Amino acid sequence: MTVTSTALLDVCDVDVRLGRGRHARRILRDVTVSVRPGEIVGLIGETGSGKTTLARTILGLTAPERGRIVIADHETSALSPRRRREFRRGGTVQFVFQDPLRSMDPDRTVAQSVAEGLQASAEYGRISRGEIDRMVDDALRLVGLDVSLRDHRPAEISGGQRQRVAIARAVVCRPRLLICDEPVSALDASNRNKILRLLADLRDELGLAILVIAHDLSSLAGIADRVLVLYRGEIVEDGPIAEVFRRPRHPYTGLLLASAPTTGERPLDPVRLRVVRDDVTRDADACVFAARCAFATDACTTRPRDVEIRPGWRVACHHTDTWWDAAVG
Amino acid sequence: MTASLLRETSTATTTPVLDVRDLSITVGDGAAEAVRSVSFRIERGETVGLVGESGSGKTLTCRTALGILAPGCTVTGGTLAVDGADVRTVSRRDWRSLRGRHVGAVFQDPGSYLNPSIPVGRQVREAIRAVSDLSRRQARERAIELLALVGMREPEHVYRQLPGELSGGMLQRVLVAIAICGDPNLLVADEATTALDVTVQAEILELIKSLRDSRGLSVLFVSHDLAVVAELCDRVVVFYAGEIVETGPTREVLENPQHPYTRAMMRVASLGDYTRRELDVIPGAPPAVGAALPGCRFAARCEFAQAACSQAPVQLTPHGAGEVRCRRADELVLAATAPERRSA
Repeated sequence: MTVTSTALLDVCDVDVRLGRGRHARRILRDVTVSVRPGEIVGLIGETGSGKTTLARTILGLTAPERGRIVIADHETSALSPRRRREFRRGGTVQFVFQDPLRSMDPDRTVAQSVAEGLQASAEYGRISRGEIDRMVDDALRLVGLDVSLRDHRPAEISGGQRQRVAIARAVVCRPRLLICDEPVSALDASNRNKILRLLADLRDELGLAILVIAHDLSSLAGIADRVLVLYRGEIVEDGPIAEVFRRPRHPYTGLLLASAPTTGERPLDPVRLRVVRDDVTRDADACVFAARCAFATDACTTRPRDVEIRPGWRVACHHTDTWWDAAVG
Repeated sequence: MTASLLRETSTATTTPVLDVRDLSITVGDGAAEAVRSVSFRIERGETVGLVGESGSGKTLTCRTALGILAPGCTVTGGTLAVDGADVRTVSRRDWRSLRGRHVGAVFQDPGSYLNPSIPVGRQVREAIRAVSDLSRRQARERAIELLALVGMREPEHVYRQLPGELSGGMLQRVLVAIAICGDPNLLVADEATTALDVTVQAEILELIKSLRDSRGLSVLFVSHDLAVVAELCDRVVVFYAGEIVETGPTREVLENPQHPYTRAMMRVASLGDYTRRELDVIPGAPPAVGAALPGCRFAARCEFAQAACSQAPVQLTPHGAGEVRCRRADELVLAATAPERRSA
């Protein structure tokens, strides 16, 4: 797999195994992700697909068993745990959690929570109080919050405002890569769009690379440039989001789209895509999706290679070219 | 009032399964009126969706139908009748015969409604025994039938499993089995598919549809997701800041919204078109819960508002096949932008 050297984040053929001894389970397999500066990449997958493990691996909280992780030209997967922690505290990568109410200390004010982002960094001791206040106010303004909120506590502000505070805490140390885990799934549609707009603006203003993790398509629509589809620890499709959503090339992506609620016509009928097959093994050598795939054949007992069907669009399926016609026909 | 009496009244064909009239609810020990004079009905076999953003009063309304309003919340006016029984006059003891037999419910987080250390089958069995005179053995058989009915492929095996061994979608199926085990006329589903994966959400929606069709179940479906409501509901009731602002047949409301809030909500929702790029927002924020406003509660955020909108209360008035609460409903043409662009 070639990845351009301009990428800010390169995750290359990463395997992650969690648990010990006979409880060990492979959570991620051959995962390759690249995010360039100024790019927003969506990662979509169902519960248990390994989304959060991938985020933790990128942050250096979980060590990969195999593969390489390069962030801003630092190969973090090759660093010692101590060096990796130092890199993490340097603030190049920041994280935004799903539920701001739970990721913030209820007793700390907005300003204190945002300053937390700076406290982990090595330089913290050398920054004056006035400077910290100035940086906190800048971060609040950057995310569209009034600085008069700085002395409020999380319970005193709205859900949308809280998520802005969480983003301010992440951007206060001027990261280059932002990882957002379900940043909008706790918000209603209007607030969701406000936060997504904010992320897009931050990308434009700061040239950030952003990885947005989501379990539903509406959290990515309108913002991501590319989408990665994760199924049981493997990336089955990676391509330009609008085109992938218009005409998915992997049957699992097709199933996700067909299942999404809609007020309009469905191009695909979920019932025709949804099967549970007892005739297909869950063998490690088989296609990861075969047991749920309506189009699986004998060929699918071997793992499909990751094929680049067009520049920037990769699919791992033996039947990329044929399943769609079988599904709509 | 006895269960048998309730049964008799419910068989009268004219009695709606749910009849809400001028319902008002205060929260915070009377500090704020969170639901203001809400009225709507659900007829037998009908599915009605309540939509609105968080804090709009939809969940308070449906919790009233279940007799499970949180402490500090009080019904201050109006009536809410389930199968003809006004819940305000139902005693604690009579609720036991109303719940399960007349109304069942499923909520957002199925795992938290089950005891993690008891096999799910036994929990279904106990629910059956609470609403029937069946013996343990009979109730067990009934539980296995119900688990099969809600789509479990190996009901005998699932019966013995602990909640922690089941996925979120399987747990929600167990909760649906418990909700319908007393053969109620009304199923209340409050954000019942919100936390589920999209493929599982589709399966649970299909399950609810099939139960509705096969058992003549009425459904009160509460969701913030307009597209989910569009999939399932015959009629939709749109809540804004504690009031109903629009009601009508789902198709008509979505194709031709009459209230500016409904239209704004459709503009910001993705509605199943995940290829579009624009991220519209509704400017401003809803008024504080219970805020006393002289006029339309949406006026401050409405692009069509005139000075008069904020001066006097606006009534919910019949309009076409539904109702709308807007002074300018007759003059405004709010083209539904959402479903059309799909054809492009």
